[in-house]
Amino acid sequence: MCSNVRQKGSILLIFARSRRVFVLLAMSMLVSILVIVFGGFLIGAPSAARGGTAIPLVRLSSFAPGVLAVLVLTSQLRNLEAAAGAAVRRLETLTLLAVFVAASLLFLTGSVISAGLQIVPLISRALLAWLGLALISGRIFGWRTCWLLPGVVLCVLIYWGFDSVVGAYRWWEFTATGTESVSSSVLSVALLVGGLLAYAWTPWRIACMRRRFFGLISMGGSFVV
Amino acid sequence: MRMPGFYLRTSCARWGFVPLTVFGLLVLFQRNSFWIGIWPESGAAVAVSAFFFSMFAAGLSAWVSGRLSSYGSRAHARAGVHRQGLQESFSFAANLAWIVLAYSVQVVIAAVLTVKEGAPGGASYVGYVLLGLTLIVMSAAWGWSFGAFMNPAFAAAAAFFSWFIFLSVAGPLFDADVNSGPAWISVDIAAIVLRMVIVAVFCAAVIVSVSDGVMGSRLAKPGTIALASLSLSAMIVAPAPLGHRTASEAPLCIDRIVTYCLWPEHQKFASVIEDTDAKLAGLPSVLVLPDRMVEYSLSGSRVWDENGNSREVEGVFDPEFSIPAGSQRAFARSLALAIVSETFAECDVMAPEDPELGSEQLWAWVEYRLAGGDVDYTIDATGALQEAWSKGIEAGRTLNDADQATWAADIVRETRAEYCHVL
Repeated sequence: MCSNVRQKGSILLIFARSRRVFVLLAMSMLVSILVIVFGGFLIGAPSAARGGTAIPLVRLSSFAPGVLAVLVLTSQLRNLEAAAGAAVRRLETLTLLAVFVAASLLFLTGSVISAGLQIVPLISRALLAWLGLALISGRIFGWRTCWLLPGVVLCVLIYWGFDSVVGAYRWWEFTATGTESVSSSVLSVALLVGGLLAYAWTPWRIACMRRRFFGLISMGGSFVV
Repeated sequence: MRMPGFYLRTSCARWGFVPLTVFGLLVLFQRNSFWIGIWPESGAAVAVSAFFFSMFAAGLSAWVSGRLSSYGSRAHARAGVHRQGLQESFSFAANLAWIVLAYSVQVVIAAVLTVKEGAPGGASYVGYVLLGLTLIVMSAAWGWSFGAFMNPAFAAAAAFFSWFIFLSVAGPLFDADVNSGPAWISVDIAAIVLRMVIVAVFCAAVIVSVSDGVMGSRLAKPGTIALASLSLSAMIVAPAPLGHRTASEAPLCIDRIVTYCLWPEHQKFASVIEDTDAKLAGLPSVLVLPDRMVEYSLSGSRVWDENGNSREVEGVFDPEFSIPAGSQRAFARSLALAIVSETFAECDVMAPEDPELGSEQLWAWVEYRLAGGDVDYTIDATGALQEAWSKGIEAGRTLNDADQATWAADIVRETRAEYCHVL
């Protein structure tokens, strides 16, 4: 039994190496250091709001852990690995989860050092939302391009996130509105659920569903994970 | 001629053209539209889209450059007929061309909309556009180096994120965070040209370092880092392209009941000023009107040093007004303040304070009258000030013209008698 566990551990390690998990963790560490150094920095970015906005960098850079975690799913041998089926899928999910948790913890540590404990709930909520967005983006544009949708949303939050007429952040600015904002929290959870569904929405599942709903007997062609 | 065309047609950056153009147009138009017809504001609106373009330019370039590595195009290029440096340059230029093309759409649309108004100040538009272009080219080169030297799997995400951090932290140091283009801000074209030269050096450094045939691969990475760092430092320490403009020698002056002088670029606001001025005729004669008012920064009462710090100048100057985004209310507020100041000009500033804040009531009332008494007119102040302003607005809302004149005359008389100590 002991050797079995060791074997599983070594498989996980080999898989982690093949997906460059340690490079991603090093990058997460770098992000955390950047947050410690520049986290409290106010971004004087352009804004549609009159007079512009000043946003603490720590809030917006919270999109990094989610994106870094989803990059684990990138593999040049993807088609080949698909032959291993559910075994690889389990490893992928485990690695994705592990990297996300590790990167998030590193990021939260950096945030607490730069902005204090009170920011933890806000950042935690944002981390989940960004992960969801990265997963959706990865499923649509390819895992390597999982930064694209979070990137677009980041720009939207910077530019349109503050309503200068009301003098408050818009309800969908999930990196800024407090955790008491139900609408923002619901949106964040919805994004996370959407991301998880996108991750679960594998080509073979799409094919199975298609077959089930449309009564297609033959799937026609090969499917990749 | 065939070779650049081939690279342009086959560059994967072409897939970014339509999304970038759409996003840029949204950035340009999903905000206030007062910039239309004012050259510096139009230029700044375009430069705002460049801020966001630059982030995607970094990511997109890293992705395209990373594909060249992952599909072995660079290795093929080494064995090709043409020099690798040349091929790398063409690949980079084609990638950049698609991004710049998307930017050009904003530039042309903003220019077409503004040129119709016939306002002066086109040079500042060119300045802002070039400022944005500099940012885009620099970010594209930044991303290209990430794609060449990093694992293609992470390159695009790393380029996007690192550029975002760099832009956030260092951007204000080289005026990358343009949000608006007030007429009193000058755009130094020479400083922008200098920045373009620095960015060209940065691009050349990236291309040369990426091309193994030009520089030994052992030197490539340190070479890029050294040259890039040098260029980035030069960008930060180079003279600032944006600075405070000296008072215009030939402001646009409008002679009505009061003479108003404004920055020539703001000729679009003349109608707002004339509308507001017409309402002066309805004010009671007990109020004293200023002879002449000038727009913010035109009076010469302040001077700015090269770090952007202002200093008051001794002397007597025309009162200033501000009319941000052509807001009649903001203009009315400035004009009302000038009228109240003029009415009590001879008062001693050390006089006892009026517990009823009569002059504040009067200010709020004049502002309300000049702004046209919007139905959703709200005020935001604290304590006694809020109470005083509310009284002024209430007088404007509830009393008829004759009673308002009496009310204003009473306040002027009482303030002069009790809380003024005429000098």
